[in-house]
Amino acid sequence: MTDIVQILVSGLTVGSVIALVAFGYNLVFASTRIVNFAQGSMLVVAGYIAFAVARAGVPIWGAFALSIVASLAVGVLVEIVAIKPLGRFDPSTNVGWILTTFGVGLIAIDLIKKTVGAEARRLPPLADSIFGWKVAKISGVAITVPDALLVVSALLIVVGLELLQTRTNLGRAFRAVAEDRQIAGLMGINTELMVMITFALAGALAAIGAVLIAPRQFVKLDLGVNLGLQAFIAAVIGGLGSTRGAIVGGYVIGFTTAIVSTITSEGGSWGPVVVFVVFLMVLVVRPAGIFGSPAVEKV
Amino acid sequence: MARAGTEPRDTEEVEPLPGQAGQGVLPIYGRRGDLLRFVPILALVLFIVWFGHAQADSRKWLDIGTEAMYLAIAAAGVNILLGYTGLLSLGHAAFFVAGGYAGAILSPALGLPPWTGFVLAFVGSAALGAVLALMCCHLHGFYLTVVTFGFGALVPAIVVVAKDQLGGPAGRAVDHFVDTSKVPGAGSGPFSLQLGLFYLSAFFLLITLFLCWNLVRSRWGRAYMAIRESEVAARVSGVNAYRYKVSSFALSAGFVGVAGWLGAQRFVLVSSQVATPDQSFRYVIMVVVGGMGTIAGPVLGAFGFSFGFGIAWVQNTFRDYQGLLYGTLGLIAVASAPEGTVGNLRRYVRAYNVRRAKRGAIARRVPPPDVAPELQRPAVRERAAVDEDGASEANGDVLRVTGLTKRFGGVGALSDVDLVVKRGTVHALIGPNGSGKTTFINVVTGLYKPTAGRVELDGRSLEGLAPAARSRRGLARTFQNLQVWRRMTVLENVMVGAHTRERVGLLQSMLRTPKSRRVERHLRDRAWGLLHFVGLAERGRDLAGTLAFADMRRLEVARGLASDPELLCLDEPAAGMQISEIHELADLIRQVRDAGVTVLLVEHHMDLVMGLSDTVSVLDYGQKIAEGAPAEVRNDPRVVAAYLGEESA
Repeated sequence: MTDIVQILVSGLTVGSVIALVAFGYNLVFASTRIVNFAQGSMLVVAGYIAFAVARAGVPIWGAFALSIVASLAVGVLVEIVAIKPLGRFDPSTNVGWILTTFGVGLIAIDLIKKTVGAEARRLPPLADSIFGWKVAKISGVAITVPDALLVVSALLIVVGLELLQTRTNLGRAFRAVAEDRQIAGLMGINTELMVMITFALAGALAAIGAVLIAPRQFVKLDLGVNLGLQAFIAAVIGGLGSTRGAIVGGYVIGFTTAIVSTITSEGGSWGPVVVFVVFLMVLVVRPAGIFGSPAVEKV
Repeated sequence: MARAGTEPRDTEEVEPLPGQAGQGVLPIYGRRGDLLRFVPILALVLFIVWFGHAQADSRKWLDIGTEAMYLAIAAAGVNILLGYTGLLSLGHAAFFVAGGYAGAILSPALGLPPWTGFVLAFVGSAALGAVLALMCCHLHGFYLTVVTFGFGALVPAIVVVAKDQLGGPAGRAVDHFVDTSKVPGAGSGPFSLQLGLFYLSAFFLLITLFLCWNLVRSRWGRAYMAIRESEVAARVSGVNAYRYKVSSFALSAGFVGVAGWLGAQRFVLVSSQVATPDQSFRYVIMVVVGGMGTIAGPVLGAFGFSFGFGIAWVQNTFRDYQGLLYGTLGLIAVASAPEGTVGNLRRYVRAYNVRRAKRGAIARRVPPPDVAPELQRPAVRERAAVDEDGASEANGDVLRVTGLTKRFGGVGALSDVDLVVKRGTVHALIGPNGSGKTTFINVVTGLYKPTAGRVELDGRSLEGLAPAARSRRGLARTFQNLQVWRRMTVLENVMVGAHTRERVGLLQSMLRTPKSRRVERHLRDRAWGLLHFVGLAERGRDLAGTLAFADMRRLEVARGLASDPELLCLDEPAAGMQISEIHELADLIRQVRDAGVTVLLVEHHMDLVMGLSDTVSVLDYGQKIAEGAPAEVRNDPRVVAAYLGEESA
């Protein structure tokens, strides 16, 4: 019983952590057909910004808000440096964007290393208690406020993003740009602006993720590589571009890892191997992911 | 066939194509010709000899030199996949580690002599690469990159899981498994071990380059490039794209594995620490900065980074900030110099030679060899076996389609179409836009799976056959939206067209054995003959992307004919052509038919269809509404209605 509750709690929280990062990949992919390999680094940058602000004495909520604002700018910067110079291109055949976004990610990490330093940092949780409730125990498994906050916010963001993409003009414009950038432009959509807005929003998502995750994981330089990669796999499993896919993919990884680490003695190291096998199997069966639509070959 | 009235156009004024320059693009080398090609390799050998002598007393520079050599091997491997096949892997650092384990630990453990470790390093990495590739080469575009990225990041987990064998994150120390002081030239100085390793690495680099050089000038290398330029065209030309992508992946992993074996020798350690995505990214950046799709490019890139890091200032500034360096260089390279160093150098040389050609100092083009225009028929191929039972020749039908139906979701693109194409005829398939003509060709050539119905070629069902296998059976086609392989030469395009006509193994190609030479000669002669036939021989050595529109269509015809097909499907060959060009096209199609190749012509242009066809079939909304001789069909009320609307009929 304890094991099952442990798996549930751990799967949900880890899954939500991963999903929070994966949303960023998805948002960008949904409007540009580009996977922003710098997303993991944007998470790290946002985390360090929040840390720097909090260290200066600002309460954590203030640091959170400031980090979101700053990350909007970081997103725009990434777009200007990595995507703008490529000009017009077809993301499916010309893969230069993989190199530029990856490169920007590396640069960002090194800049942090140079300015803030390489140590791992701790951020205080956004809330220790809600209305006096601090921690619940089910079969001896503790559920803390930050964990609950994490799981709930991830679900709220899914709803929010889906509404944004399907119910607003901005979201429709995103999808139009993704479908055919040229025609979207002819319909009066400022496509360059849309791409930029997408990256800005991806930055904001990275900041939200970084601060919510921080109580579980230190803010550290290799966060982007480890967590970013898992999130990336989650996004692909769920289907790139699909928000609900991201959270499902996150849960798949979360539960897989939790189950594996419960039933094997060296769970921590078998986890990634099993996740990768699951990942490959999904790609073999459904190359575009669970909720993705397969690319149509035009002849 | 002489083409009256069409002057060969100037290649030189055409906008240079993005990306790498193809082989044999003239005028690069001018009149002095091919000898100049050997200057870079000669320079490399001289550099190695000089470096070994000059730096024999410097341990630091010997280490750097060794690193430069094996990184160049790794980069050359990555280049096979990225530069020639057009697939980007961000996980190749894993094969460096795999090669180290296989060559430096597994191989001695099996009791093999230490010198032969490179064999297992190559084979082990290539096998691992093949396994991964088998699982991901069906994926489109960057999804492959995604999988390799995940795979590369998996290595740290694997070394922990198998820490008894692999030694965990710290890796496993190995002895100086090869006594490199015995390498010729290592001498007896204090650093003879290091000097010997340097020479050993340099030797393997030269071998690697030799193999790569041969590879990209072979049937295999051209197939890789064709996949890079247009996978769909490669498939209908008889290249089994999946298989070739897997082989390219395995090959490239194998070379990186050999680099890993040399690396293990240098560090006296095999460790997974180097198998990070960052490291894989570095390989890629070396290739991109040096020049993708060129032999010299990856070497230059690897040398630049390795020797650059030997400079004290660079080392002190960037030791802890390599991401900054590589990231910035990657940004600059991709955004402003996608052709890389070598590509840009070639462009300068070509521009210089163009200026000289304009002054008349050198010939504008090297003239094509004098090969007779040809269209060999009939070919002796596997389908000859069918002829024995008399099934095909007896009924005289090349293509027999029955009840063909294709639905996309709920939309019926083709419903229950029957069509028989008689041997030696030009059979036209016409119909208004969206009537299913191109879908018909796509189903027949195997690009689309039919919802129902049967397609027979020469009396044999094509059911379940991939496009490449159908090409082997005798199907060829051209594309409405041109699919020439733009960054290959015109000649190379046609040579890939003849892909199914010859067979030669990968190893034979890389070693350039007599058999591989013979195959090359056959393919080349045939390609020249076909280029003479369609009137493009003059342009044979130019990049296909520099051809004018109508010439690209001719090229697609030549490419299709190169496989010696039973049936050639032409998908709107006259689209976008001028009247004079259409007349030339009609002549060409007649000649093709007279040579014994049956033609299925999908076309809008009525003059062309009516003047040329023996039989005309008309499609409307996916259904065949009329069939017969051109004159009958022209006056059929249903056809008139389909084209002009009900009232006109």
